[in-house]
Amino acid sequence: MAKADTLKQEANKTCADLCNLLATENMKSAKHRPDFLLLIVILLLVSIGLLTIYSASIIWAAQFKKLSADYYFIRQFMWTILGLTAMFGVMNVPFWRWRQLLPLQLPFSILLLLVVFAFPGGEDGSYHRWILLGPVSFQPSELATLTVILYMAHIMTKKQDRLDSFKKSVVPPLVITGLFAGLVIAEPDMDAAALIVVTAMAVMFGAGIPIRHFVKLAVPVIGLAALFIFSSEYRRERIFGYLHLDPFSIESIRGEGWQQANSLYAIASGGWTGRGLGRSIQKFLYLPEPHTDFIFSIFAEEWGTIGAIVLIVLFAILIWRSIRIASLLPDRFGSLVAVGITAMIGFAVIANIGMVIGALPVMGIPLPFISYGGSALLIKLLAMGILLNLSRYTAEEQAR
Amino acid sequence: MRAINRTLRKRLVIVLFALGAVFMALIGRLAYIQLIQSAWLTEKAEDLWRRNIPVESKRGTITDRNGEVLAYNGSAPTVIAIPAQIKDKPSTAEKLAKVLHVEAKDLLAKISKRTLLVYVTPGGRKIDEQKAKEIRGLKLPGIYITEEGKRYYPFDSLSAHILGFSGIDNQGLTGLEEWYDERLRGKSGSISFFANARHEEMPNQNDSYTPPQNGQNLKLTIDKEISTFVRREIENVVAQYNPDGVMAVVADPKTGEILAMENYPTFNPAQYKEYPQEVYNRNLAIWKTFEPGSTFKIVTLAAALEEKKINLNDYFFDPGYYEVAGRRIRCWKAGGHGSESFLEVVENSCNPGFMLMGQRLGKEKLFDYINKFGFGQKSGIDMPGEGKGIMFKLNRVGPLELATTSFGQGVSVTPIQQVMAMSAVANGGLLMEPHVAKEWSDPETGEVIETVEPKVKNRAISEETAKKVRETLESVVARGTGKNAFREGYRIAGKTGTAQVAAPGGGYKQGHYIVSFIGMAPADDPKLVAYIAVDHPKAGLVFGGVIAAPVVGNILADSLHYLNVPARKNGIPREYQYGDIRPVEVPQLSGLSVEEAQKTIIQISSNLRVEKVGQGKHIVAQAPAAGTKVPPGSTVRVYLSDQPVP
Repeated sequence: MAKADTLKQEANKTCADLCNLLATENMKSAKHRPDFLLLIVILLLVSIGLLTIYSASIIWAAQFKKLSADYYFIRQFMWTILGLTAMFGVMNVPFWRWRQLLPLQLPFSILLLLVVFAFPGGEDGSYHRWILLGPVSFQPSELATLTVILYMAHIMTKKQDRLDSFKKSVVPPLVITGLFAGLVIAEPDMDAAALIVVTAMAVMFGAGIPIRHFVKLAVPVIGLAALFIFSSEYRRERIFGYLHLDPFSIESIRGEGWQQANSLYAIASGGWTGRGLGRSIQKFLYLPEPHTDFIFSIFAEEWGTIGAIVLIVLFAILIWRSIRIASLLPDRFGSLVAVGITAMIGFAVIANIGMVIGALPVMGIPLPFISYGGSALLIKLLAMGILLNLSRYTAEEQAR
Repeated sequence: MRAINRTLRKRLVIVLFALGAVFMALIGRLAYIQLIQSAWLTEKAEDLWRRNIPVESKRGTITDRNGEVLAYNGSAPTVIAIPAQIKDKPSTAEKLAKVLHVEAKDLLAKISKRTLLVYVTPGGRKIDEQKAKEIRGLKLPGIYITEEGKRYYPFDSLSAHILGFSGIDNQGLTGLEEWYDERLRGKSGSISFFANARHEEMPNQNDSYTPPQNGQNLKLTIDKEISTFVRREIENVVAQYNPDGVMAVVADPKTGEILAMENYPTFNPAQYKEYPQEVYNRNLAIWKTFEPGSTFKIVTLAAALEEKKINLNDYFFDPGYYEVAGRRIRCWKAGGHGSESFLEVVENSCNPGFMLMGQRLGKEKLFDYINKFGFGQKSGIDMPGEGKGIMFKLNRVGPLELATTSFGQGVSVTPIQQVMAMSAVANGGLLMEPHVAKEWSDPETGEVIETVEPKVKNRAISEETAKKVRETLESVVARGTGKNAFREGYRIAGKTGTAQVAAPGGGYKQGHYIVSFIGMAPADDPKLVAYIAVDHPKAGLVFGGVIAAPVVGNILADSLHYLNVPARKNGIPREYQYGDIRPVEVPQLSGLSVEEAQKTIIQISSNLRVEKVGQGKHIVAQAPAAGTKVPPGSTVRVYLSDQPVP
């Protein structure tokens, strides 16, 4: 009896693999032009990012860091060149190669997450978020996010006939995700870890894991998150600051609320049409590190609320195009990768902008393509390369 | 597979809609910030960015009624620094120190402070124009020159209590400087600019300059000349009697304008810090309350005349005391004044006579007049620190209290209340509100903004009664206790006062008197009311008629002469007693030849000296004029010419 079951499963598996293989073979012939609109939007976002980083960082670089005014811009520019090269390269790499590469990428990514502990950072050396190689710094948590997306897409494809089984299709991928997230939390970078977990969940959701499993997961995940939040004082403050809904109270403005209050000043004083490029006042050291997490407020100050809405719309188009790709891909793995990438970008955009406009608590999640950060941009452009490649295999006729 | 893909697609649609909703929420929140919160957020943001360098307004000048400046602002350049804008602090300090002649290290400490704005001290406040020009020439970043005002009081302690003074930050602290601080001060302006979080000025942002609004100029009712006469008299009194305090007021009875108000001890407003605070904080003439003594009898007299309770020609016998409620209250003169008319009662300041008047009036009537004359309430003068005085409560007034009140004991009043009561008698019965501010003018155009009009509070007595009281008081000076105030031709009317000072524990302080005199002139149409009170004079004979009366006489005579009030001839002649020095009438010399004049002088055997001016045999003019009464030994100047007067 048990043997018969095993045989049956074996047969199913072979069949599923075969089916996938067949589909893949089909697609190879159906390769077409990548999503042109998506490409334009990506290029626009990257350009806006570069321009805004230049404008936002010159004062911080020159007056606070005593560096040359274009210090941050030049670095970001190099990373952008590297990132775009990588994107155009990856765009032509058939996406299933990534699945084959996974057995290498998975341990490599974990290795980097371990190596990072050799590089103390932050003011007191208690942070380990970057691997520093001379002038270049690399954030392994970014690569980890992409690795988790690819891994989740792979495992969900592999176990697509056993999705109902909590033990077999939910627990093992969660263990791997938990390993990554745990390492990132240890850096410590709670916010990046949360993004990894949420992105992984999104892939599982897309893969069709029954809702009841998510309900089962909700309790331990939320419990763990609460535990982590309340175990650290500054996270507690952020949450309470948010719940009080008043970033302008004296206690708040001296602490965590300072950035949020100044960010709101920037957005409000920019008006509908903005002060104009380079004319932000808040970047004159009122808003600390204006080119990083809070860059959206400087953008809003210079380009106005209308400019800010245009930027949000650009992100919305990007997300719409990637969801479209996910839904039109006949290949399950590719489809789930697209879902994961969409989630990674989408959640980051919502978390970041929500924080900047005071709708969400302060979090350390940068705005994709816009915030300063070389390795983050490189990984995101790499992901875009994969997405663009995926867009070449969509079954357009089926959509009609 | 298709089924699974269908799940995926269904879920993707959910995701798409969820994300779409969240993005719409983000946009909504942005729009909310811009539509609803933008106004106050922008205001807060601009407050955060804006830095203001204050530009002090110029304090208004204070002049006397003739435009003589009593207080003005000199303004001087002052160096200020915005430390954050100074790039090279040591060299800046070095350069500034060279110009200001101070130690560079002191300046360095100052300009290294982590505040927005510092005064460059030592040496940098209120500097001269030359240094300011040199510093401007250095073009040091973060170093600015602004103007700061300094208050000057050119007549030192003259009218010090009226003027008061203002502190280092241009704020009025006492006197009129405090009372009218807001109008005198004006509004500070500012240079404002946007700065970054380190206070450094931001490029390409508009600086704005709000000019200061200078304070208005104030013209007082005070006459500097009359105040000078008063000051001189006070100094003489102080030199002669070494009193604890002196307070004097001269007022125009018709308008309630104060022409002079001087006190001793006084202070110099420019150096107020060198004086004890009770000296500059107490304007005795409006603050001090004490028993007025006999000067208060004017009220009783006026009330009795108005109510027709006495006739000045009626006779009264003073046995030297008056019996009230079984107690004998004695007259100041042992043995009493005997039989006297009511006119003589007033002339002699006879207490029993006034007690009789009080009794005839009854407490309701008497206290009604006391109220009408403004006692027991603030006069309403436009100066800080006015006292109110103490009156008996009507329901607690028995015969004894009524008796003492009617001659000025057991009540407590301020000098200004007495001056205003006397003014009512002088101006025909109207109680005026005293004031010292006469006119406000614009500091830039000189245009008059506001003129303070005389304010009548109420009618105290009828014109007729007022006239009677004046005549009675003139006779007090000519023939009674106020003789020392008599000045030929000025028809001074007045009343003496000698009051004991109440001891804190009840009863009176032994040997401590406040002597006073209140007078007005000319009696037929009083132009001035003058009052002086001397607190605790150290003299053998402590009476208002001896110490205070001559002072008021001098003040009134000098002031009326200064105001060109013509001398009167129809006054009540002075009654002379043994020992009084009789004045000499100047004979007619003009028009005579020198020889004739010499004869005349010898004939009247008077003690006059003659001084010749010019050459010749004929006298063409003389000073003073014939008929003028002068003290014996005075000099008459005669002007000579070769030709007789045609």
